[in-house]
Amino acid sequence: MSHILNGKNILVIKPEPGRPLNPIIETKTKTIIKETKSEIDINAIAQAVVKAMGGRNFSNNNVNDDFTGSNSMERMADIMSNISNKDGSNIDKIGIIKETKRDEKETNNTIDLLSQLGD
Amino acid sequence: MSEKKEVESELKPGVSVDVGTSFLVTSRQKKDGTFVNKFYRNCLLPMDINDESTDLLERSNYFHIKTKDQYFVVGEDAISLVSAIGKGEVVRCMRDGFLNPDLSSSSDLLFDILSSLVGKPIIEGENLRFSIPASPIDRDVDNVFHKMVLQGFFTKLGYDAKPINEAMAVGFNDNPIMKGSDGQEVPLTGIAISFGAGMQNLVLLFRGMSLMEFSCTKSGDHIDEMVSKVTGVSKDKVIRIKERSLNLDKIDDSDRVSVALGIYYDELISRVIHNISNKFKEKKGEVDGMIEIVVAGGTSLPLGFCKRFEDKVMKSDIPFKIYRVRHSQAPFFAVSQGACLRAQSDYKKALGNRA
Repeated sequence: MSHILNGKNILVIKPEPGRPLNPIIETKTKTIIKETKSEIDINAIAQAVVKAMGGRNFSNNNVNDDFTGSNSMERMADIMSNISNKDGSNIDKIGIIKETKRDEKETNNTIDLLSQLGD
Repeated sequence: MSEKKEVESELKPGVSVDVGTSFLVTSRQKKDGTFVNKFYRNCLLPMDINDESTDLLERSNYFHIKTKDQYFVVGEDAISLVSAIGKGEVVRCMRDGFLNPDLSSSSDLLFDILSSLVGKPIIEGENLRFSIPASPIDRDVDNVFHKMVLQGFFTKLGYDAKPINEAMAVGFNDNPIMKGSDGQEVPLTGIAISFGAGMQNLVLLFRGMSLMEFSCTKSGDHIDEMVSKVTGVSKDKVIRIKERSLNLDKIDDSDRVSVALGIYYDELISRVIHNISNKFKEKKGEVDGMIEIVVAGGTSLPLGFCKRFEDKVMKSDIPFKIYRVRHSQAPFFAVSQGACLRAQSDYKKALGNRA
């Protein structure tokens, strides 16, 4: 049911017994949503998401994504998994090696069992 | 034949990487069954680029990465340097089992360290398995993005890469057994738990398949932090005591750090048992026999851990019978070795498909 109250168009819902009337006022919500949508800064969202997910500067990677599709995360993961070359680093030979003896037969049995399983 | 080529020819195809919060481990297996594990502490010390730091790093043998605006001293060297200069704080590429969102370029730095550790594939498209945690039950985050980023990275290195649940890998390495009601032993059936620095990961296996898996945060790092807070002793010192002298069978009552470590270990064990019990009751499952629990991971290393866990689990209300609790035969390498066996099974399967 629709009424005019103080010059505004309102929708009146029949109140439950004992509850006050709570009119729902029709506003210009639709217009506001339209204005907000046109102000979306896709790169800002990209930067924020990337920061939240492990931080990496995407400014040179031409992020062209409106974050509405299901592949957005995949694309971002792909960009983040790039391998970089850093001059001035010296970590080619890092790592401590430790060998552990194992029965060859026993581990081969496990490999046989596992190769019968799915992924 | 060069020395490197000779070593490579002894190795079977199929490699693994345990991407842990505190340590990174890679494993390969030789043809005689021996595992070759390579590990490094997963931490960094950031330093500004200036004449002083450049001079220090040029004159020393500290492993480091140079980025556009910072140096990062890597692993054990980062810890040694903090101790030597008495200032600075190490940071981690990972936090609570996932990429650390507080560290800018965490994935970039992690990949630098990982690519040095794992090296190149020994055959084209070599099978690789990397560990991932199950999605935690006490934190609003899942493992999907973490998995995608790592898979993309290893694929770009030239591997045929797939993820493996961390606790499953422990199960594959240590083969828990169920003793059936008919007296038969069922392989790869039981509970496997990895107690890491950032998380505990747990799986209930049946013949090598996962029936139930989950992870919880607040693990080894949490213990260090809490003990440091309640005793006022630095976290570095707490870690040293925990790693070098803690014996959970014989707590020295006069040492407040050991007493506090004992209390927080008890809390961790009780919490894990409570979670197993609750999750299993939710599933409304039944186990037809007595199962074995295998435990592994750096946080399980203190002497007496396994016995304390077994004492508590036997008195708990877990709705199935436990045959025994067993410590992994290689607690620190169990995840990586189990994942390596899985990678080898992938290779075997691929060979079978090609034939």
